[in-house]
Amino acid sequence: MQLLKMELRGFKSFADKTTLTFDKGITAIVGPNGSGKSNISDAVRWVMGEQNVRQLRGQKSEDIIFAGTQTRRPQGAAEVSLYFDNSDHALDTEFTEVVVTRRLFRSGDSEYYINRRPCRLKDIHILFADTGIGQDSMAVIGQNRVDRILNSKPEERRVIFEEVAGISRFKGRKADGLRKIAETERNLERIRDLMSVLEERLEP
Amino acid sequence: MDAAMAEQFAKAFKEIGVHFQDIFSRLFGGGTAHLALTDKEHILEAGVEIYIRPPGKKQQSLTLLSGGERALTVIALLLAFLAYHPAPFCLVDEVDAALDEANVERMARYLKNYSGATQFIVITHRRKTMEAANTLLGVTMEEKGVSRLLTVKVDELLKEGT
Repeated sequence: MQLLKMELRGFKSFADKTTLTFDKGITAIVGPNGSGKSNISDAVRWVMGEQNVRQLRGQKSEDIIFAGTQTRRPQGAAEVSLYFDNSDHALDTEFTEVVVTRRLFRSGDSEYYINRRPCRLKDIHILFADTGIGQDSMAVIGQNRVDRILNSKPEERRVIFEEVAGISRFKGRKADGLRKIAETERNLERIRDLMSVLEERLEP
Repeated sequence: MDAAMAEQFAKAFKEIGVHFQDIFSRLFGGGTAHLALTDKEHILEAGVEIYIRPPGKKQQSLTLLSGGERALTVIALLLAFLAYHPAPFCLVDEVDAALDEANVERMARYLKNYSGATQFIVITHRRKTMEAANTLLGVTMEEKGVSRLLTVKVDELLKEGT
């Protein structure tokens, strides 16, 4: 799997549609302070489902959308797409190219797409689980992330190791399973309650 | 399922630990580092402790490290993860800012070594890191508040030059 390109539109300082293409090897993003370099790393985390706007250096979710300048009007929506080459089928889908998109409107509505078809954020998490670029992965390291890894409690740190060890997918399945068991038990209890009530009525 | 998870975690943890030690000492040009679980009995809940000793110093608490040492420690950990399980891409945002020249050069060399398995996207101000890159993407703000992009393929430029 490889990251082919990234498209930003209306995301933070990227008012116009901007396409970044990535080759194999090292791509360095350079430029003066305040030109919007770090907005690129924010965009990657945002597409992968980052929910905390503060992690993206914003106050409210609207701050993600291009806010306009003295000469430009604000945009109505922010959109970021990541294009992956999946010809080795590292992602569990038949497509050889996978496009993941997130869009946010001023109304606060957030939409996710896989290959242009609407999906839930959970579907994106499932698609990328254990590839090393999931939510708690080390795929995007910012300056604040460095401190978070070192200052975090040992228990918080283990989450990153779980992702790398490839057991977060199991953990998710286990949590789902436990939830189903709990639900079934609740249902059983309700049936038992109903039965005892009915039995009481039958008695006399 | 718990048993399988514990086994897989323990195996991965051990391997990552070995890579971490190795990469740490190579990035720092010496010193030692190791990872430990806070509770060996309960692998599925235990936390992860990081112990490091930079070259020429005694073992230190993570909070006492200098900015450059902290950054380099995280880079070592990151590369250890990638050595265990290569991620398709990895984006690092100015983690090299706090490093000195020698460390930047060592880091850039390492990224280059690993860039066969993993694509690296580095946001940087450091010359040595830029020199290691295959492609440079320049972000500018000619119009106030609006970012623009310029692409320079270093590899192709070098080819043309020779």
